[in-house]
Amino acid sequence: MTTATKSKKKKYFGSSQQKHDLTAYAMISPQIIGFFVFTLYPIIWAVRLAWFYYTGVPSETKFVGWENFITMFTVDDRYWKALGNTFLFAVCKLPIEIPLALILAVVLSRKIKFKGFFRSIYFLPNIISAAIVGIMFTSMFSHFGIINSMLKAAGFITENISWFSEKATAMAVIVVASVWHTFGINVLYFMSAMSNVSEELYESASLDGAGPIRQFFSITIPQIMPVMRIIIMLAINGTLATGDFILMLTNGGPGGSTEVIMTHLLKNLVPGFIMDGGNIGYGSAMAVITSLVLATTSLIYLKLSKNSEA
Amino acid sequence: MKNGKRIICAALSLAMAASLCACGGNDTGYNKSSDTWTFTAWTNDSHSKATMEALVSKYNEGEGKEKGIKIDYQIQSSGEAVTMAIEADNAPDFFSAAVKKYSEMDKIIALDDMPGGPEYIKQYEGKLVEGTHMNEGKTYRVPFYVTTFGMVYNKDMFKKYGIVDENGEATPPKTYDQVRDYAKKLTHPENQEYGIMLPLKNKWFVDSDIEFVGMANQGYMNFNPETGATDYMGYKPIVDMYMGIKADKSYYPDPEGIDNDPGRAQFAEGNVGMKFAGSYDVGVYTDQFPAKCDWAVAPAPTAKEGVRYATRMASDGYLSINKKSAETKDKERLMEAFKWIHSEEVLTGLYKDGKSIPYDWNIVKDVDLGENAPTGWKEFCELVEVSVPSWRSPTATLTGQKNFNQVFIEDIWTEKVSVDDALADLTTRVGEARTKWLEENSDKYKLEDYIVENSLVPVN
Repeated sequence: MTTATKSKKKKYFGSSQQKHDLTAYAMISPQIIGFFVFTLYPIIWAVRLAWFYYTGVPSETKFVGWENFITMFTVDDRYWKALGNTFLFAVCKLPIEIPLALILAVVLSRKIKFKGFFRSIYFLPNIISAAIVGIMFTSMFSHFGIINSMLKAAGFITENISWFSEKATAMAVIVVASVWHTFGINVLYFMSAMSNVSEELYESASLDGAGPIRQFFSITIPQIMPVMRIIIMLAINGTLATGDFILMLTNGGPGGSTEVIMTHLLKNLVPGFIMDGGNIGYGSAMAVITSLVLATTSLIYLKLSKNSEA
Repeated sequence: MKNGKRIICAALSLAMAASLCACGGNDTGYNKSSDTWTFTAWTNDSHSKATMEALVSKYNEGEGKEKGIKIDYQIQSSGEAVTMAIEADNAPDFFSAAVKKYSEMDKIIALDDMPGGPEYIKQYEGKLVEGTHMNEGKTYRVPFYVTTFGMVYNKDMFKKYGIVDENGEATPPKTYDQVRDYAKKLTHPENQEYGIMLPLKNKWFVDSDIEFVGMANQGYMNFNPETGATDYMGYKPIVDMYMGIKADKSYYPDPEGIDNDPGRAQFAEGNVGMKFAGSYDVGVYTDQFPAKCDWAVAPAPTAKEGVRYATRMASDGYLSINKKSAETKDKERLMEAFKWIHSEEVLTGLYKDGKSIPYDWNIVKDVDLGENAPTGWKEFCELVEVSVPSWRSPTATLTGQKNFNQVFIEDIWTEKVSVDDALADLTTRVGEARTKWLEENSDKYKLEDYIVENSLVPVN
């Protein structure tokens, strides 16, 4: 070690910089410890179980190698149907939610009266528990619920719709409820992104004769694009990970046609949801594969969006 | 000033640390001054909370005080909270637990190893079931109350649409054909009245509305205790009944979106003619959703009138004793408290209040319920005489495969697969799973362990 390096180290230790760094580490340590204890350790525990037959009873626990994974790929076609339903749900939901949030963000970014009130109102659904939202919409869309009453009163239907008896209508309810629940946070994200766009750009565009729509597509969208990529990625991940909400709303029905990955996982992994004292090891194997699928989806999206930006 | 801030910060940190240590607690439950041990019991029986609290209070002031015992009875509805407490060694003295799992994990103590335990267990001879109350020959909990299953029907609707006897009294269905026929007669969508409630969203629908009540038709659920064969074909008549009801559209609409509680609420409103139910529903239609209609209870129907076997009766056992409590607290008094909680006094008190049916009907057979018994309570209690706990069967783990609940909801009800094909496939798959389990555990279990000769005896 050179004299200069030694001298540099001597200067660091005991210095105010070191104290500053130690304070910073102390402040983030609860989060780091929490991550290791409540996130990383359970992940390792669950991944380990994927190679076991495990019901919680010690004498029944045994190492089964790749059997759980083989069962997933060769026997459990319901898992792959649930995966398909998950992507179908995302494809139906996101093209409605993202543009809606963007348009509302544009409107709320202008100088309008009661802007703060509208911002709060749009964000309010987001703070309601997903389970409560599920119960609310189940009631609203029930056969004699308020939605059928309103549609009948408006003359759109003559007979009540059994919303939960067909896949198409049940999926429509799920999409409507989900968009209502989560679009508010995206409005806030977009508004935050737009607040960083310089007003001068819009002024210059106006002077050049660009109208609001042209300004939106030529200035707003390109300027917020980096943040928009992240917002869309978060929305994709959130949508693909939706579970408890659908459990309360349709419980995967009718006939398993709205079963998504997370509800299928819950019913195979979580005690209380598992029926017949099931194999938690199998649920863990599904969780491992599901994590890889979701991670791959995110990576593909990031790659594609990066390429399109370039 | 800077030093002052540091001192204050240090003092606050120490106070927080001290309070956290205090939260950990070192409460043994023993009050030295009154020589009283307090034992805590957790159950999830919220339906009987008021009755149990009254009984416990009386005990604590009377017999318990004399013996130096105080019981702290608490309702803990969250299964996850109980599991976490058990596994963190933070469980109360008495709790409801899966016997096999927690005896192997050494969390619960066998009653055989408690003072007076072997003599106490003798009164339950013939009623203790391996896996439910016992593990490897030792007893960890004892039978307490049972749940009977049958059908609730809306007498007002039956009378309105002429389904009555010669005295003008509502006549409940005795056969599956009658259920279908009555459901059709009771369905009048213009009045928002429907024949039967089918809460298909309820994850226990197939268990309670097909398997438990369907047992009355053949005497067993899906495992024949006389032959040791797996057999789902016995459910064909009741499943055909449901498919007939579907074809007639005589069910409350949109059943796929209805869970059990909304289903109960609609029955209570008087919109529905019939619903399969358990004895726990007496509390539901008395307190939770007070029924606006005149309703009664009928035994589960069967395929042929006059041919009936016993219906399934849920009898799971009650509480186990925390092993740690047995090692650290007064063992004799702990056992005394356990005995009192499971005593005839408690069982009779719960029965009288319309909360629980004792596991042994003889305990309360002659107890007069009086005029204030909740509607339907006496009828559900009388079903004990035509009910049995389900027969034990070898374990069948259907990893990655559909169980009966999923087959019914996803394949049969949606008409993707015929009833015969679906039930035959289940019989094959579950049978193979049971055979495989027996082969893998041949050192501990044999098929003969599950055979009960002359078990399928009609009840009338």
